[in-house]
Amino acid sequence: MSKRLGMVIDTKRCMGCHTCAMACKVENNLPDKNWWNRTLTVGGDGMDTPNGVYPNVSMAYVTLACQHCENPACVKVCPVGATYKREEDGVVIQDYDKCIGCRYCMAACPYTGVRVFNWEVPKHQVDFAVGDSGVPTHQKHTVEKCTLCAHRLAQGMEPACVDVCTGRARFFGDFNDPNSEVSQLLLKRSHFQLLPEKETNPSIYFLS
Amino acid sequence: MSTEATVKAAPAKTAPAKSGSTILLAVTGLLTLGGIGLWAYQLSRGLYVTDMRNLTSWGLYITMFMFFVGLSAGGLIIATVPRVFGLKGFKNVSKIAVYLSICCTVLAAAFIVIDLGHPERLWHLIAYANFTSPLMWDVIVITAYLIVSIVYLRATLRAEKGQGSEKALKTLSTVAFVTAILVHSVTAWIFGLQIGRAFWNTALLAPMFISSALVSGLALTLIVVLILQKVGYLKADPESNSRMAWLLGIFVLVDLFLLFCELLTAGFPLGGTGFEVVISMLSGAFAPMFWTEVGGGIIAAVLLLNKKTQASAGLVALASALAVIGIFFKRFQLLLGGFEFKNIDYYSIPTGPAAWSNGVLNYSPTLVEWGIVVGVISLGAFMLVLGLNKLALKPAES
Amino acid sequence: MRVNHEGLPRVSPTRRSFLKVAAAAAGATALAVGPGQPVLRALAADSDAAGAGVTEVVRTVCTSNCVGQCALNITVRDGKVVKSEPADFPDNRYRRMCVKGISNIQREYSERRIKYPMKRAGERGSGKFERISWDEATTIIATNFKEVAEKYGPESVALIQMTGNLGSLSDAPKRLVNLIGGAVPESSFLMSDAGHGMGSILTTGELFVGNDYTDLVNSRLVILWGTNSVETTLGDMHFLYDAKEAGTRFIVIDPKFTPTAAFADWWIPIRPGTDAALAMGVMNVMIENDLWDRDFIAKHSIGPVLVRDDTGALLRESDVVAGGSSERFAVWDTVANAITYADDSAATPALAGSFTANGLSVKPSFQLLHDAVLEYTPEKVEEITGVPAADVVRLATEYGQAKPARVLTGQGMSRTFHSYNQSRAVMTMGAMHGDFGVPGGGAGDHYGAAGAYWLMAISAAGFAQPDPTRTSPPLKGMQLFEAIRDGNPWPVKALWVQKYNMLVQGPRPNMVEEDVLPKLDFLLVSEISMTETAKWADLILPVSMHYEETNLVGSVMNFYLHLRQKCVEPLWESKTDFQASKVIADKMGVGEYFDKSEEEYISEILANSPLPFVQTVTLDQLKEGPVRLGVPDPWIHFPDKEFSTSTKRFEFYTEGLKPLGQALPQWLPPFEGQDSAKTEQYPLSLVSGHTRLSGGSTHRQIPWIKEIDAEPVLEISSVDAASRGIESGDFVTAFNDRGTCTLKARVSEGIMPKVVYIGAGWWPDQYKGGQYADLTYFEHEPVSEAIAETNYAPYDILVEVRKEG
Repeated sequence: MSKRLGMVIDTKRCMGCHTCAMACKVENNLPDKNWWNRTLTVGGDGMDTPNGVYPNVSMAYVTLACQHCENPACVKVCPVGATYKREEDGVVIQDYDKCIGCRYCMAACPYTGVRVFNWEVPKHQVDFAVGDSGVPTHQKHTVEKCTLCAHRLAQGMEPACVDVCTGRARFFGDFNDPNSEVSQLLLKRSHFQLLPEKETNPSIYFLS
Repeated sequence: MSTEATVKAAPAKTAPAKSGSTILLAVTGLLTLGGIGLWAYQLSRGLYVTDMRNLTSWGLYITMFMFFVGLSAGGLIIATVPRVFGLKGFKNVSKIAVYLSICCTVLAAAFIVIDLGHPERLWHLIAYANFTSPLMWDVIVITAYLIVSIVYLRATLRAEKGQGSEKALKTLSTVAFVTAILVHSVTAWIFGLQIGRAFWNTALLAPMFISSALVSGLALTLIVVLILQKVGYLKADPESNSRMAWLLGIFVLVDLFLLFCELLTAGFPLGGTGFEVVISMLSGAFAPMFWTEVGGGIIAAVLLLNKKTQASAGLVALASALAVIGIFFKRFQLLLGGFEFKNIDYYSIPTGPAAWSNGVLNYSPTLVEWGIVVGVISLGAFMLVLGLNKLALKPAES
Repeated sequence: MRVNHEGLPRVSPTRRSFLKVAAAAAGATALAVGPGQPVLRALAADSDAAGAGVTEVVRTVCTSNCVGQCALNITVRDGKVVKSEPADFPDNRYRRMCVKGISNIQREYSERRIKYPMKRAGERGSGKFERISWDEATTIIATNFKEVAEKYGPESVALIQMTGNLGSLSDAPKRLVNLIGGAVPESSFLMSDAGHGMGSILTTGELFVGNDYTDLVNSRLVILWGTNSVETTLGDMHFLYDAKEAGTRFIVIDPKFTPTAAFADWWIPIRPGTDAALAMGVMNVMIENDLWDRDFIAKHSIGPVLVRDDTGALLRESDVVAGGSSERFAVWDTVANAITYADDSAATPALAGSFTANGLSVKPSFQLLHDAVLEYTPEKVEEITGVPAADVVRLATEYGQAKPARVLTGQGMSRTFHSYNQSRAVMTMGAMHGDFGVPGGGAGDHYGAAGAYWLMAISAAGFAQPDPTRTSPPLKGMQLFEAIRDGNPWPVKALWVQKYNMLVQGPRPNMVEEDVLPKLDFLLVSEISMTETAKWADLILPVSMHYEETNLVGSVMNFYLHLRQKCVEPLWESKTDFQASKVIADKMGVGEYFDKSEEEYISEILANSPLPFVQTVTLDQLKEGPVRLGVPDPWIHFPDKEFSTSTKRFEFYTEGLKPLGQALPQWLPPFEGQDSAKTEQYPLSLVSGHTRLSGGSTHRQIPWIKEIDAEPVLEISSVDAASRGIESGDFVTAFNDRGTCTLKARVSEGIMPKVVYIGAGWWPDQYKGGQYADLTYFEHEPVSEAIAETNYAPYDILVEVRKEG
């Protein structure tokens, strides 16, 4: 049976530290200003500000990257199939060489900001590639996003953001395997997906 | 003696017209070249020179694409409907309408290509076609539409010379008509099927696009016809003009009605994303465009449907212009609206570079974008003038 | 190979490993097989195909000016550091890394990096420098040091260090300066990190008295008091999450709703500088409701020890019987109705009452404490702290009833004028609760136990000070600027600033730049990047990054000892602090003290340690990975409940402070608190705090970090913002009679009214004008001076805020 790879993120353990976002940035040698994974403050209108009225306030964090949906809106609309869902493990991934830069996938994806376009030649602060050498070269005028660290999956490793999570809030595995850690977590803990009403059925679950 | 006089007189009649279109061709040609130059700059420096960014990833170009698809579909529908349904048509202007429609189709396609990151990979659309994509459907349908339009015009011209059958022409009309409807429905579906963008996701979008296409297409045709009548290319035809004006007036009212349906449905719950959208249009960020569109539309409808004002070419031209502008603003609102309301709105760092504008709608087209738009429109004007000169687009009788 | 929870093997080499990766192999890491066939094979290798020869992974340990000491696997590709990943510990509960550690790559290759020794080529502070050779630089340094020593005495050459690198060999400049008889002032007070320690020393005799973080899961309740653990010790937060999952309740006491407060079950906002009052109030309620641990107080605290009414001194055997010991402390046995001594375990000592012994009127010190806390009723505490009286009662009741409970205190409450006072009061509250020395209990600095770092400081003392006969008299850090400016206690004329961004993180940079630095004959700065401090130097020495050095590093918050291994060669002409000290030492006639290799000195430090469990650690062991020092695991502090004070008990009563009226904990108004008359002009209390994105000022300029957070903001409550017409995003100026600071405002519901907050470590060029530290002050605090020295108090400031433009 094919796998359904995805992640479980424990919002009770997430401290909004941006470590997963930074790990992704370095691992994938992201061009300047591009972020595939971000830490969002669920609270007020600024980073680390709460909602509510003093002193009854609250704040939480959600980390957001591609949801690797089971029913992805993006895969349907790419006119050249440059973005596609892998059959063997469910990873939604791009082929930069096929992409014609029409950005339809960016319009189709409901998850605000997870898809990133290189509006110019990718620039980097340092003049050499950081991160893993197996990462596809970034191309001007193509769309990119979280690949679930496909290059690491190919080496039998888990995504960088999962490995590095300082709060140990991120879990990775195969939802088609009922004995996997991620499947077990969904059984034991209440959880939610983002934007369930969009019927995309993400492979990223948040424990609440 | 008299031959000399005749010979001398003849050049004087045609010379102004010729030099007029030469100037037009020169100007539009230059502007087109300028546009191409800007496009080359955009390709080399990157789409970064536009104001589009990750959260507003489509902008003026896609707006223009929608707009010109609408203009082209409208023109062709006007031309073919009478033949299809055996109604009294606008015979005198139908060839011009078809040719205008062809020009608009070319421009629409041009805008898509200009918006692409990798236009040199256009062949991927053939090699790797993904048929679940509304964009792919539109590529197919627009290509078919362009071919059908050209074939239809050619068939019409040949029929006037006595070649080809009336029956074949009627079949072609039907095909062209259906394709025109399809073009605009499919273009609408590019947006309307997207569950991720509340502003777009309505079943009404295809009918609304068709309605807007009829408005803008007919309005543009009417403006072109009035201008051509003014400069003497076409004979004055007040009766035809009145009928077109009246028809346009009806189209405008229908379009306003569909808009009203949308607003009422989204606004009635007095809460939710749909309601936010309505408020933003009535009194928020989109208000200036919205009220220009609605106000202009109402004024246009009045001018077009009132018997007295209908008779004035100037007022009809004004009303048509208001209608066209209104449709442009409708398209612009639609596009920007899709990106304005974020599904996940928690505070986040940006995912890419900042836009040039700090505009209320997070997008304000740059000079490069406007420059390219001017260039493309100039290309259309260039093609139009060329076609009016070289093709037998005048009514058969004259 | 270790596996993660999914059974996927984790790549975690335990030693330097070489993986030769051919360009073809790298390129063949295909994107996918599947329906969308890649058009062209991923040509990532192409971009580094030219050099895609050698990749190696080096095990080392981070330094991010923080207390994480995260073990790292550094990927080096073609001689460049390309990736930081967490490395395994023998006990992987300690495996971790943070956003700062990952981003350090951009510090390594930053354009701000100082490449060569540089000599000032313009006015001091102009930032104009010219490149010179190391030979020239060391000659200049040696010449200047010698001249100053000859003119003013060797102690006029001073070295001020801070925390930019916590490795033992980074004390090499200290070794050098000690050898030439220079002064090495104490740094922790100048850093503002010593206030808490003073309170802890007074009460327990030790700086760090916590259990291992692995023990937190045993606490019923944890109070995080003045610590923003999510941001300052994020590497160890997962232990708190584990505890919460296991049922531990968390309370956070802080003027600001930090991410730590968001994690906790209950946030108690408190006025800055009033924490001692809350602690007294809690003790008041605990005593009134019999929620204190009589057993602990009687057996393990100074509670039963009798205090003389006349002098306030402790009653000693020598006071009671002739020839009695002055080391034995008297208590009153309620059964025998007579004097006995604290070491008499059979006694039932009195904790209350008044007695006479040898004609002296005495009371048990606990009676005195009881009397002291009486006035701190919940209502009085509410007046002082802003914490509602009902909440004071609720806090005390919950704390009193939760056994075991632990209190973790942070610098947030101790960076006030009376800096020793808060921790003293809070830890006394902990003593009343009685959970010292048991799993799940304790009260003290949130660093936990005195980890390997502190044990290495002891072990490396001989390295830092190889010849005590040459040492100059000690100099207080907070006196350094006076010494330079006024010659008090003696003139300091040459200053070497090492691993310290003095003109950002230190007190009153505006005053220092104007009044202090001009008095120096010579200012030498060792720095990695062109900081504000480096800009003012007469001479700058380029320092190597931690990827470029070999060093010995002890963890601050646990007992792991690490070997920092060199990953890449030092860039440009940078040298490590050790290498730089060596070449200077050669020119100053003490070169023989630096003639061994780094590894040899490391081995020496280990072998010469007075601590047996450090002696047994070898360099080869460290090369395999971090080594836990041989102390019990988990570490429970004070397992036998014997404290390191003169009475061997927890001392909430300090007789030495009686002359200053501070024998007992009490609340003292802040220097610039909400009760001060100064609030008429400057009504807002300004506080700061370290954020997770930067250790001090170290990471603020890293481009990746700036993409997340690029400029400082002043957080202000909606109430205070509204009355000043301030909205989020407006530029505002915070000002008082010492300076100004202009930056963007952020209106927040998560901060107490009358309190404003600016995050720590922003560089002056990131503000619109001025900087935080311009608003601070130098004042000597007599009790702190009596204990040790004054702690810099940057969280005890009044300001007003106005909208700009």
